[in-house]
Amino acid sequence: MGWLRRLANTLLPDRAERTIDEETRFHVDELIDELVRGGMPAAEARREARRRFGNPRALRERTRDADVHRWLSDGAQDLRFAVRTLLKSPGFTLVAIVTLALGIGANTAIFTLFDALLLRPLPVAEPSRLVLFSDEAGEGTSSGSPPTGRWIEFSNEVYRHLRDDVSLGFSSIAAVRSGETAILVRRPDAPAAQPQRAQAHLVSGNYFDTMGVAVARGRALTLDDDRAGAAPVAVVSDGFWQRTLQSDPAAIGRTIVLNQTAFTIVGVTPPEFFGERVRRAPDFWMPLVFQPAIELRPSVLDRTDTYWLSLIGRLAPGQSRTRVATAATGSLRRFLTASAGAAPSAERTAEIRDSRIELSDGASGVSGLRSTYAQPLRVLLAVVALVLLLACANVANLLLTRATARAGEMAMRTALGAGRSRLVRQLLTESLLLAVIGAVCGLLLASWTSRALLAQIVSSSAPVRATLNAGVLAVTAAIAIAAGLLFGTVPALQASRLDLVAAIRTRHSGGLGGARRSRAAHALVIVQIAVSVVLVVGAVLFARSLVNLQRQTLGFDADGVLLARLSPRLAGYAPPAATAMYRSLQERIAALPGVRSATFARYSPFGGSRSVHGGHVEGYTSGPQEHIGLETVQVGPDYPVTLGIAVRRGRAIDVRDKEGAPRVAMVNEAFVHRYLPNVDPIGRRVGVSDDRALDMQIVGVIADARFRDADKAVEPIVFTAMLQENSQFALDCELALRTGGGAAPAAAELRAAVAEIAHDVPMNDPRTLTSQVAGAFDSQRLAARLIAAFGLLALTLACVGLYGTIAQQVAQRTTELGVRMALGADRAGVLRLVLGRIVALVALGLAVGLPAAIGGSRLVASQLFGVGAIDPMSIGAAIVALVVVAAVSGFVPALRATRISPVQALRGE
Amino acid sequence: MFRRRKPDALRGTLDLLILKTLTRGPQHGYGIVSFVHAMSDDELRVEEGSLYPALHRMEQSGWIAAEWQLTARNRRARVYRLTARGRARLAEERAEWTRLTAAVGKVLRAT
Repeated sequence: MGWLRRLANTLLPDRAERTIDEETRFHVDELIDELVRGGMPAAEARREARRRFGNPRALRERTRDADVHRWLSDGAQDLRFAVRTLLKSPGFTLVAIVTLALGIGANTAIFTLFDALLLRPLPVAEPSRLVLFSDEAGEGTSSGSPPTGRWIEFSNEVYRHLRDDVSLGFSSIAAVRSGETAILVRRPDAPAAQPQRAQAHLVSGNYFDTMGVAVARGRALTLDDDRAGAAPVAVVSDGFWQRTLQSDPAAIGRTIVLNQTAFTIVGVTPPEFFGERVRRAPDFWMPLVFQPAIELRPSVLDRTDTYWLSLIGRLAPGQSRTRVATAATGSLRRFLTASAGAAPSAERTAEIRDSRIELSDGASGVSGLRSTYAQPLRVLLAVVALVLLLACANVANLLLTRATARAGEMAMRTALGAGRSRLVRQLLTESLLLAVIGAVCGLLLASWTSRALLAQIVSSSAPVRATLNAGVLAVTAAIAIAAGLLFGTVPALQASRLDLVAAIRTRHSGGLGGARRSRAAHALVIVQIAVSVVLVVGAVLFARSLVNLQRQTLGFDADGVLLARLSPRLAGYAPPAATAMYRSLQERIAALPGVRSATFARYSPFGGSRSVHGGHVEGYTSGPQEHIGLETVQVGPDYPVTLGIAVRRGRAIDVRDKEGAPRVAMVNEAFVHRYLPNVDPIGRRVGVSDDRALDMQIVGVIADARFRDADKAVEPIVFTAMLQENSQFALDCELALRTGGGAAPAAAELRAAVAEIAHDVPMNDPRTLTSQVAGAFDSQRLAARLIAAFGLLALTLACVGLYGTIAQQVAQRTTELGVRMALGADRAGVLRLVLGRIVALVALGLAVGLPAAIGGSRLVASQLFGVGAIDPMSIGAAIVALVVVAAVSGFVPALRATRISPVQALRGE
Repeated sequence: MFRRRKPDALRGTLDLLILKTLTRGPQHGYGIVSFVHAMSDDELRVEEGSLYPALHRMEQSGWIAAEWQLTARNRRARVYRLTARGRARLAEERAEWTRLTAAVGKVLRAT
């Protein structure tokens, strides 16, 4: 237990001192008593007692030192000594710290990002009990035949069935409208304020209960709010409450008009709550029952053929996800069987048997970012782990080199009586000190980098924060300490295993440990080269993949196209009024000086939207199991010319194709290729409505334009005439204009035109199609850039490592090289000798690294576009890079070797 | 270590004296000084400046154990007693001492 008391004494020095003081006082008192008993006057006795006792402070120190022992003082001494030695060689210290800071910083930054985007749990009670019926980023409504396979979206009817089936093992199941809805907010209490756009989220009455969120003010929604005939109520987000309602506590109970319906505000969410989706937080949550009023669309509440709800469950305590999923699947199949009627077809029976519910972990919510960035981030985690390995190898190499240089010092200290464990401890202290300083620098670097990286990935309004949380700190600390031990151990053990006499006698040849030490150094250099090869190959692969993606012809010309979204639905427009508004707006805008042509469309390429309808094509016989799903985009006149899509055959949809005229459609080449090969498509009829009518005639074929992925085949698309459309669903449109000059003046003209013709229609900020397309490559671009940066970093580190090792060896072999030269070896011979060593190291490094690189490339092949896993170009680039690095880092020491003066070298011996 | 007589041979004997004193029963620091003083016919005086560091070191080595007690005159004193390990240690030190003094004696008796 000695160490415990020592520890207590160390941590609680007061306690130890009090004990000693009290003990001393007793002794002095007794002594005085005795002297007084012997006849000495009291004052003199006190003096005598003190004199005999000596300096009480010195006694205290000595007594306590016996306790604290050499334990702590040695530690402090080690630390002081380590600081002094590190300061003595600032070059080494700087390189080591920078290397470590980069390694640890990169790890922490990427882990922080990983944590922020993928791991951070929702700010709710017991997030681990939340399960998602779908963790896919995609959202939307599907209608028609029931889903098959895994159920992602549910109808209200199926939701109610599952919610009320108490046998499943859920505490509760909440439903949310799949997708957010833009609404228009008017405030009767502030009539002067402009109506503003906001995001609304329709949720079931038990949503807040299920999520485990207590509102910050007022009350949450309840099941009673979600019944037919209930008074309209809404919960507002903390952000909206602060921004728009000026944090007014009296706002609760106030009425606010959302679209055309007056809602009462009943509660405010806590600031940290952003819903179940990691993205822009909604401003309002309101019960599902108000779907028609919020979406301004016919009710889908009782439609059994509309699948529009995403479900979130809270497991009952002790329930497992898989068990509950199995129970829910059984319940779903029973329900489907019951509603399929008395004698379902064999096909339907098979579909029901195939229907299932899978539950995903909901602790971190749903994140589109997650699916987009999970793979690149995993690759990056692997990359930064390699970088850290490299950094450690590098610092180990530096320390090894130093250990060699300090062999004499170590030997001298051993000879003077320093224990081996003491020397090892000293060296370990040094490496740990380096690791800690490196980690602190790395942490600073990481907090800055991860914030900058996150800013590239998500908009500032997204509820994702790159905070270095405790977990990240723990991981960094663990990495730092492990790194310290890792690269401290080998040199420390080697240095302590010196042959004393030999080491002292021949200081610079490093004693007998030299051969062993250079073997270790060689191994480290080979590891560094191999890791660099992997990273360089990876960097080139990702860079090439990105270039390929960006070079991919998109089929449209994004340059100079400006987009703006209009929402006449929110302003209460009916379809005929909206189309008339679009028509006059288009005419007005096309006539603007800065605009060459203008059109409008339901949605734009790479805008993230997609609308697919069950379709029929005249002359195409579908297979027995085939449902033709056709992507359908409603467009206005001048669509191909504005977007720069070539018209291949026939004509484009134009102003003649309006209400009352025969219904027409354009199709893309992929459509023709798929459904009407070998025939003239012009004049054929197609239909995209549920009633199976072939009510549109194909008038033109346009070139394939990519609407989302750059790396997948283009799907068939039908373009229909917006001016012939009277569906509620097609009211909101994207204006697109091809500008003649810059985007900014055109945007100003556009705003003026909208204000003039449709002042009451909300419009979001105009943006360029170029930026919208670029956004689609964000994750690949980020991955490619980071991996390239890390590859460069790896090369630099390898360069430092190789240089250090070769320089050290040249220094070690000064005598030998001098002797060789004295015996007649010429400079070229010496150069060959040194360069031969470098070539061998690089060759070995490549031999280890290239197979590893090819293996690694296979793992990431799915993330690459247009580059094979075995890519001669990236392998060639890696070889060239490594050879250049070797030449650069080996040349200086090699040259130095040829300049060795034989006389001086021999004299040094 | 000793104020009046400090022959080198006596170095290391402080532990021995403390351990021996404590075989007679638990004792505080002052008691140890008095006992050694009296038993050596006033020849040996343990210096306080050495006694307490030694006591703490021995306590830490587990040879003696300490606890606070009230003396007959109602003063708080830290009282040390011998442990089993201390007894074993005493036997070792005693044997060592005997060997040393015998050896020194032989040398001195040599003519």
